[in-house]
Amino acid sequence: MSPRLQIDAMVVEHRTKRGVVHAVAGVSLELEAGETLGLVGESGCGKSSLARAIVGLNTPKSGAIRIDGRATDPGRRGAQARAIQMVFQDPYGSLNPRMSVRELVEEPLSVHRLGNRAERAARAKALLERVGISAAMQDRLPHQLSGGQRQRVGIARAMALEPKIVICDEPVSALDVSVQAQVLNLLLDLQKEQELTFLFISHDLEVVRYVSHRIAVMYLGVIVEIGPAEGVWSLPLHPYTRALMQTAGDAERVAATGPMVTLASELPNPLHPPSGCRFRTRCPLAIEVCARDVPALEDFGDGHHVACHRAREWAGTAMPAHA
Amino acid sequence: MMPNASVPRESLLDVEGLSILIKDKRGDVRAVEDVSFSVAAGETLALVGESGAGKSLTALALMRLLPKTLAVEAKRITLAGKDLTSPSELDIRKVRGSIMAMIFQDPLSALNPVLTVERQLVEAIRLHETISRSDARARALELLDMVRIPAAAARLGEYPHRLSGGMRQRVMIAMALAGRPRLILADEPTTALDVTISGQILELLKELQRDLGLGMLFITHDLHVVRSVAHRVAVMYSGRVVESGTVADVFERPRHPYTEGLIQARPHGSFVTDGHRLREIAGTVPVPSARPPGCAFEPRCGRAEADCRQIVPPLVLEPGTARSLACFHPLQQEQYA
Repeated sequence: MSPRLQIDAMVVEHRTKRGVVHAVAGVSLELEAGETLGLVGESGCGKSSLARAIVGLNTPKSGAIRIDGRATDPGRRGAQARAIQMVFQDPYGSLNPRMSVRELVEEPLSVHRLGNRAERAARAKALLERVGISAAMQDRLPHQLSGGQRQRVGIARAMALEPKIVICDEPVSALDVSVQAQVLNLLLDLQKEQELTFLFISHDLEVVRYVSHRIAVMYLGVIVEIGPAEGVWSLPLHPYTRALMQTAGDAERVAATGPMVTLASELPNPLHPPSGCRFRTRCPLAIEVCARDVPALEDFGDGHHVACHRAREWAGTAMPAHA
Repeated sequence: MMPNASVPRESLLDVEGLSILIKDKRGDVRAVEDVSFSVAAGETLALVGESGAGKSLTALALMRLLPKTLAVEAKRITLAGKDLTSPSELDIRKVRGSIMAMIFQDPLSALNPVLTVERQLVEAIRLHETISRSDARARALELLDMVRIPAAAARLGEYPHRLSGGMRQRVMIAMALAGRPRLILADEPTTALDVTISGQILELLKELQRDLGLGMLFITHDLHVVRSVAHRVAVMYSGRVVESGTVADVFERPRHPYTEGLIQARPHGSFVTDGHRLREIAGTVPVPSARPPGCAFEPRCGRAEADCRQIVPPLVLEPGTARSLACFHPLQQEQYA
């Protein structure tokens, strides 16, 4: 059976005054129905460009997007457009400030000419109630809601078209901790009810570990590590993943599974990515070959893939933290 | 390293009964109410809480940088032995920058975009010391070295927008250090940065604090950051401190239901493999003008009883400990597993 979502050799470029930024430089991913793939990386790594290309907001330079084995095009219409929806980081910026909450949820239905007016109103009401916005609040404008309530409206909007795949781009990053838990629980409940596939983008590693079946780590436009969430969490193999995990307040656990990686410098200019391994300019473990050859994603067993010339050196010797 | 409660610390900053009033025709609203804390030299106190808790306002009130529509009231504020309870503009100018300095969340808006790094640093240095331009330039270079900016001499001529977020934050730290302050107020200094850069800045602040013996008031919403930088923590909720103590004590054995709720709301594992649901705190933080009459957390609290609805619980030092608590029905020590 074909995967629910298949991304094949995706390339996204942005033209700027100073040159072409290779935001996504060849990314391939497969997601099953009901699966969550967590995507992590620093700002500028291309994760949002990838997300926007998948949902159809960016036109990729090359590469294919298949839903249940069927190819889509960036200008997709109808059922294919409905199948992939997005939940944004900032629901305030993504909601029309002049529309009531009910109108905001009805809008995608009328754009796609689904149902008559009464049916759309009933559906919007039910959706809003499902995400925890009571009937009394449905006539309010976005600015009259709290951040958490706005994000619930954003989720109801994304769910209105009964998508198969939802791209969650930092959906809880702008929310207070106590409200994050409410929104995460809601997303997971909806996923279970509707067998949704999530591409879950976040810089918060603990949140990503919590929601994801698999985790992919992106650096300067490429995937450097991907694998089962607990595998990547307990035994991060790519030096960049190790550096991220260390900064997540888990230095001791990382130290037990291989070399410590402290990053001294910052992300290089994406207009001129380094030759060979794109991470080598910040990698304290880089050797000669890293400047010459682009490392391929290699299989380390159990679906855990890593693109690093040196990962084998600690992959075999490291003791998993759980053992 | 647990500060011993019985040994009096050399207090650098003492704040007692600080309130911040929002002036309004329909009656004043207290955004921050009756907040007390102290910071010793060489110590970091974290003010932690969600948006609207009043953390940033508290720091701005100490610096007297609040807009005119907000009024500060306090029983007592002392900084390095100086009384700052109701300071004149001159009093505050004498301490601002030279005894206490502030680091802001967004360096791009705190730095002047049309002046080079050198101009801004030299200006800050010469505000506090009578020295020649060339000596000030040497001191500026020294400061950039202190904040570990590589090739510092080349950076002096740069404008803020030419620097990366991490470098800008280092420049702002250098500016804060220009007047040789003894207390740093850091307001979410790493929140806008990527995790790997934020780790570098936190390490830098810790080193500077240790080497210079600085006191630090560190404002953050991130519990990880508190664990990594702070000795003591004060948890704020809706304008008040609800619990304070050493970081280890408060985080390992929280006693206020809000503190416990904050810790429990964070993911601690995997939903996918062990299926545990995150514990929610129902509802949202009340706005200052619509706080309930009793404890502000009462409507969201599972332990609330009749008294919580009527009386605001005062912050009280627990006998024989270094912990203060504002709750009528706290969790018992053994209740937290």
